[in-house]
Amino acid sequence: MGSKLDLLQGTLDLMVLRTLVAMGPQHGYGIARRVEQVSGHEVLLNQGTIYASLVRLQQRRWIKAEWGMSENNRRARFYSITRLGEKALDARTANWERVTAVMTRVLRQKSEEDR
Amino acid sequence: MISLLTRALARLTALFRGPQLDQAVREDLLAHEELLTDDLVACGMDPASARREARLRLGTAASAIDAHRAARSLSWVDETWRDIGLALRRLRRSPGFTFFAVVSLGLGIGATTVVHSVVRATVAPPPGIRGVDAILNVYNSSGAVRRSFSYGDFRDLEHRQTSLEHLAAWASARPSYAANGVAEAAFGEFVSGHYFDLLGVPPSLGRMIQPADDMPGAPPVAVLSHGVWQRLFGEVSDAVGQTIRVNGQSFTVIGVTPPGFLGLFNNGLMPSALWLPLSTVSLARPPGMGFTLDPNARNRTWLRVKGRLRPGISRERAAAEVTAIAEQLDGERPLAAPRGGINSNAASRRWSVAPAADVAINETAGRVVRPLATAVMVAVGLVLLVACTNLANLVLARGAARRQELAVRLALGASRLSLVRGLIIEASVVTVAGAAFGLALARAALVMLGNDVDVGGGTVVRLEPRMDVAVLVGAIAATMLALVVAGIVPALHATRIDLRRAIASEGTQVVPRWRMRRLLIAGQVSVSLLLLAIASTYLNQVRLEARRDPGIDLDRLALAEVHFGAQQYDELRARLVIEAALNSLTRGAGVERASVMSGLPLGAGSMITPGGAVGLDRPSAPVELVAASPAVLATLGVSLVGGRGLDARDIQGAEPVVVLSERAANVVFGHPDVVGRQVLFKRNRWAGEEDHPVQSLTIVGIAADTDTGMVGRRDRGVVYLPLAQHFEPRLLFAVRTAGDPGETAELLRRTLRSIDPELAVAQFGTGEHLAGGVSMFAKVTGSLTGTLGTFALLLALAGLYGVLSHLVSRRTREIGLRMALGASRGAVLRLILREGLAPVVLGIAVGAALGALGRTLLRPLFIPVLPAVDYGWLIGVGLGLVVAALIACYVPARRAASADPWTALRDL
Repeated sequence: MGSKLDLLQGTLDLMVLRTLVAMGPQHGYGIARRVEQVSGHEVLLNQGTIYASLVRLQQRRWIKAEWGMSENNRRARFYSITRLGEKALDARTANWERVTAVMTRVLRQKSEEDR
Repeated sequence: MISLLTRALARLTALFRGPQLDQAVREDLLAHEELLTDDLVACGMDPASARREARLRLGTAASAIDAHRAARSLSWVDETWRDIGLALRRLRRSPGFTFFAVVSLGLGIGATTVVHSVVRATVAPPPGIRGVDAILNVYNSSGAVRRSFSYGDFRDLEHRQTSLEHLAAWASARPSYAANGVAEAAFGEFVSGHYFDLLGVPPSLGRMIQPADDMPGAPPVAVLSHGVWQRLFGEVSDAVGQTIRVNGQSFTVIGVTPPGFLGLFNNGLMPSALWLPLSTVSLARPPGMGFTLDPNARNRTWLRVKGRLRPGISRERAAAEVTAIAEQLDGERPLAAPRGGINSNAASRRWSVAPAADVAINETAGRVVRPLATAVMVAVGLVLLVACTNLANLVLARGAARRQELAVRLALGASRLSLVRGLIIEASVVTVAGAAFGLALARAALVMLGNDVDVGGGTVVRLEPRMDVAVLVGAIAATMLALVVAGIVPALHATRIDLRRAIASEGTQVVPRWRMRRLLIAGQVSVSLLLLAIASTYLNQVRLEARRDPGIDLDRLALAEVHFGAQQYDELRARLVIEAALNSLTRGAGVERASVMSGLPLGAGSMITPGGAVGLDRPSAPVELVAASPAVLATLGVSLVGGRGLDARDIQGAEPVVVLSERAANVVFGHPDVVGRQVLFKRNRWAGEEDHPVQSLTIVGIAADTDTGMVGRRDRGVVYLPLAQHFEPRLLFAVRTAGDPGETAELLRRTLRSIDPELAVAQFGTGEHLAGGVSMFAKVTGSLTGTLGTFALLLALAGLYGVLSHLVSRRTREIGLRMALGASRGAVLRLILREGLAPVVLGIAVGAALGALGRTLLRPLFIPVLPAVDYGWLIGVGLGLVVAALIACYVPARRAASADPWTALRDL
């Protein structure tokens, strides 16, 4: 499988929120599968960790959970994003973009100096 | 900010919904696994490997749930639970340590609780009283001597004062009473009409004494204690309305007190049997003490007075009012001129008030008892301290052993706080277990102590030690102290580790701090030695007293005390009973001699005879007066030095005669050869009696000396007078037996009852029991300090053993090295023993010094002067201690010496 990306702390939460905005209510497996697909299988989760993230998000009331039926007729909880979650996602996304922009600039400058 | 709040809120709710949330996540994970498996199968995997792959990818469910729990929980609660579980597992793995820690802590806490309870019960206000804090005692004096009131003064105070409600007076007596064929004599109280209202004691049956019962001419009534109701009336509810004979007079039973109320005499430590209205004093005529209802007899002070402060009135105001009334009365009814002597009355009334709750045991005993109580509590505190230091020592030792483990955990990222918390939790678990064990012990001991205790001399003491709130708080405080000493300090100590060194050295070169522990052990040994020194002082006293020959064969006597006067038997009726009893007794099995006398020359409390003085025209001597039937000397086993004993010739109307003890003769005449001479004699006046006339008596015999007053004392003479010529209303039947005096005492009681069923025997028993001199105080203090000292010593030795074992196990490698370098087994043994014994010897030195100091302070309390340092004792206990310490050290030392040098070196 080659080397996979280590996720930075907090990035998984962001991905989960993004997924829920994009796809609507989803169960844990759906979210995990979607994250893997979207990342082009660059991220391979220990899929259990997604639940830690889900609980964390619930505690912040950024997502909520409801019981429902999965495709194969199992009882599962379907998570959806809340208003609070949407706001948080916007703020975090903006923040993330700023951080990555800064990081990119800094790193590029360094590689130029090296040369 | 808000998100912080909502998160905290969610964590809190999660705490309560924990299991539910776990369940939800578990279901999520199951669903996830199913879905993933289905997908993998759809991709062409076979179902079994698809499931395995799914599980792999999902990670273990447990770790997911753990991650989840860490995310949601108020982590410290969960972590605390985890730490407790961890502590329990760790403790289970070292059962020796756990057992020792719990037992020593439990014993320490248990002992503290018991002694605190007993001391509190001793100095506490009488039980069964409502709102004792609002009750004031009124005294007919202002100084340290707290005197009683005369009847007239009490009534005047009662009518004039306004700041106290339910002012009441009481006086203790020792009435005889009989009903349904059972006759007894015990403490009882004469009380004014408001007594029960004041104390707030409700009847458990019938009603209590009320003001109407205390009016002159009211029908005589009696309130019974729970115990008397049980013994005389068999707990029947129709006891109310029945008749009980008190001092030979008929009283109607009107009620029964609840079992928790024991009266006011000695704060209820000596339970009262019945309560009679003051107005019946003239009917029941208790002997002595000057009981009188004459309102003009203002010098006859016999009533203790109490009142409840009215709401809103300060104690100062009540005191001011009482003083003002005293001044009024001084103007209206001046007191008779002072008579001089210790019982003299002051010329003016100096009334004062003091909180009733301040009285420990009684007005005079309190001054002795309070310091004593403090001393006992301190001693017990010391024992608890020993237990705690023990534990501290052990935890320190374990901490040293666990340094490596702790260091590794620190290196792996555990915070120091969490390590300290873990150690503290471990200590808490031990402490809580020890406290539970201690409280269980204390409960059992207190139940045992709650019964009547016969203290000899026919007196019963009832302690009502309760594990009251204060005692519990005390125990908890003690527990917390133990926790701090045993847990936190060592924990901080153990976690202050230089990581690198601790890991690198694998714990072996880190020598535990032996010096501090050595001081702790020395301290423990000296504390226990101090306690033992005090104990030995008292036990020595007990032994000396027991060994001493009192001059009377107490061990062959059976005694029964009968108070004919108190039961209003006249002399003629009493003499008939005496004659019949002596006749019957002489025929009894095992009886050698039987006689009746006014008392023994020695004995405790009520056994003492009325005193007198002989040789009033010469150097006079204070004497014990024994008015007795002829066989008295033979019965008591007192030999005749000269002349004859009392005999049948000495009847009423014959020549008045006396037998003097040698000492009395020596003091008066200077030599014992005085048979046939005359001597002047005067009997002492007891409170409430008229002066006795001076008599001239012919000396017919000289008797050998006996102890007088109390065993061990011979500072007074004795006069033996014929009972026929000097009748005394209170008499002691004495039977000399060849057999078991206990059985003979029973025979004596049965005989008296068969002759006169109504006659109450105030007390009966063996001579040793009733008059044997070993003082209760010495016995109690000796055994208490002895127990505590032994206890502390055992703890100290156990601590020494524990610490040394740990030390040795830490030093196995060093010892192995020594042995590999040529040290012999013996040398290693000696090394360890020397290290173990050094603090013990230091402790012995300090303890012996402290003990000598203690003995010096206590010395004045004893009659036979003790040497300041009792070398025999010191050598005995010191040697015993060293031997015990050797044993405590030997086991670990042998283990050290048997260390295999190869094993030790291989690990180097």
